[in-house]
Amino acid sequence: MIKCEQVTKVYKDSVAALQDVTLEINKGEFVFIVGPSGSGKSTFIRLMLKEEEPTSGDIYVAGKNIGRLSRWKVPELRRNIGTVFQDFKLLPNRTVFQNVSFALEVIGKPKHIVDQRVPEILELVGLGEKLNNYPDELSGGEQQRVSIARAFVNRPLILLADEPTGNLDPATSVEIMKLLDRINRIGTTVIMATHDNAIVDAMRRRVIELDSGKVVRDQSRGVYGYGT
Amino acid sequence: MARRVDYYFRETISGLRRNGLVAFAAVSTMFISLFLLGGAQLIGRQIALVIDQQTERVEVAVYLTDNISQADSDRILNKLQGMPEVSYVRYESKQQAYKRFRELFANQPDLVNNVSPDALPASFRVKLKDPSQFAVIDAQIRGQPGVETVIDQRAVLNRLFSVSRILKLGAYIATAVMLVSSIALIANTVRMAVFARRKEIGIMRLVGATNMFIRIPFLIEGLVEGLVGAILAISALAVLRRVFFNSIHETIAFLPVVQTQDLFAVIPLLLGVAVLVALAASGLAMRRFLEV
Repeated sequence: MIKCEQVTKVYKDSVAALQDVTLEINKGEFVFIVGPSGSGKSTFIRLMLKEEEPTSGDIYVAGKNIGRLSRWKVPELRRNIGTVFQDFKLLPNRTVFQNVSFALEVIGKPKHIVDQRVPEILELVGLGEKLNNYPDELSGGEQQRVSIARAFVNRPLILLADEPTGNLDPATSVEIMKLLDRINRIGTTVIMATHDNAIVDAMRRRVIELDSGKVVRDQSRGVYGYGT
Repeated sequence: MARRVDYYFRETISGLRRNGLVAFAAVSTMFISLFLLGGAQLIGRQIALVIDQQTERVEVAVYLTDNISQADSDRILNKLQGMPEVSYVRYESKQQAYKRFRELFANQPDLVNNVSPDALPASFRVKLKDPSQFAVIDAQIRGQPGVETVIDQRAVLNRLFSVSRILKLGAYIATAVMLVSSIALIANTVRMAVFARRKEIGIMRLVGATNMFIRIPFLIEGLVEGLVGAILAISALAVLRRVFFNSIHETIAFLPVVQTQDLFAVIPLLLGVAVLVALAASGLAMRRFLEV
């Protein structure tokens, strides 16, 4: 599903955010990307979305070399990748329903599809009762569910989550992880950047550890740190 | 599709409302620049009309002194008729000159009443085969006994030409300056609209909205501003044409004036410029603030 070949990303101030990263993630996998702040996790996610170009190396998403993708095809790539962030990125002046439907409307989905899918997905994330609430009326965990619903409503092949539990308490984080796990079990490839060791240890999924832009570990049923 | 149109419409309205003052500034500069451009075009057409009408009639006037003797008069007439450059010569007496003067200024009785027939000089009206040969006539006739002065009407027309050229040039320069500022102002409203909606734009990009889809509301906003300015300018020009050119027509009855169809002929130009300026401005703003 995703393949990186010797990907290096150097920013202008000559700090190498990623160095010679080669890895492959298969369809349906659940992968944690771990490592301290500044280790290159977020850069990795931005490269997947083609928000930035690697300095060198190739990235394949769903069999396509995204470095060769022309600019007008980038939206198509992003429709295949759902993205969830630590700060939810919800629109405060829109209701839960509208926040999710927005993602379908702006890619030109017809109204009947929007009206069918949005309640469906909100039911799936457990917010079927809160369609007409505004984000500031929801708890952090509920807001993150809305953001997951928005990322998933278009049924992407891949779900990228950048520290999705970073702003949440442990109990709520567990709920979010259950939700991501369910999404993964439907067949979606989930890639989650985190430094929440409790979660990583509990899930026992593949762990890729980055340090200073290098892959220092790639374990198929891993935990957050060595020796734990 | 209906949903999209609805979306664009809502976005445009809310954008314009949000930036009311800047949008107003953008619309007014657009209005002023298009008004100047259209005004220059109408003035140009007006002057062309006058020139067309007058070119037909252009003559050399040999004005005679009041006390000219019959012998001098005959001699000048013979001399003029003998010249190969001359097409024909016509004598205009003081009475004929007065009659023509009265017709020209029929709308201004005060002026006519203050001029006695005696005040206007008699003249030979000389039509040249080639109007540019004036210098030849002038050299041979000027200074002859009984000749007051020799006037080439073409020179008057030329002066009209150059006045019109300067007027038009001035209007075009002003137009260019105003157009540049309206580009800047429209670009600014679009930029503010982009800024106000940066969160939405971020999410649109993230979920894979096409650039086209993201940009269209901003393009429409720029276009609406441009076109509102254009419509205001066209209305103002219509008023100007009625009031100003009709008043010229009333004071100087023999002058042809630009008609409503002349205004219609200018409208496509104004709309075209408005659309181009708006597209350029929106494009500029989005190029700088809406990169993928």
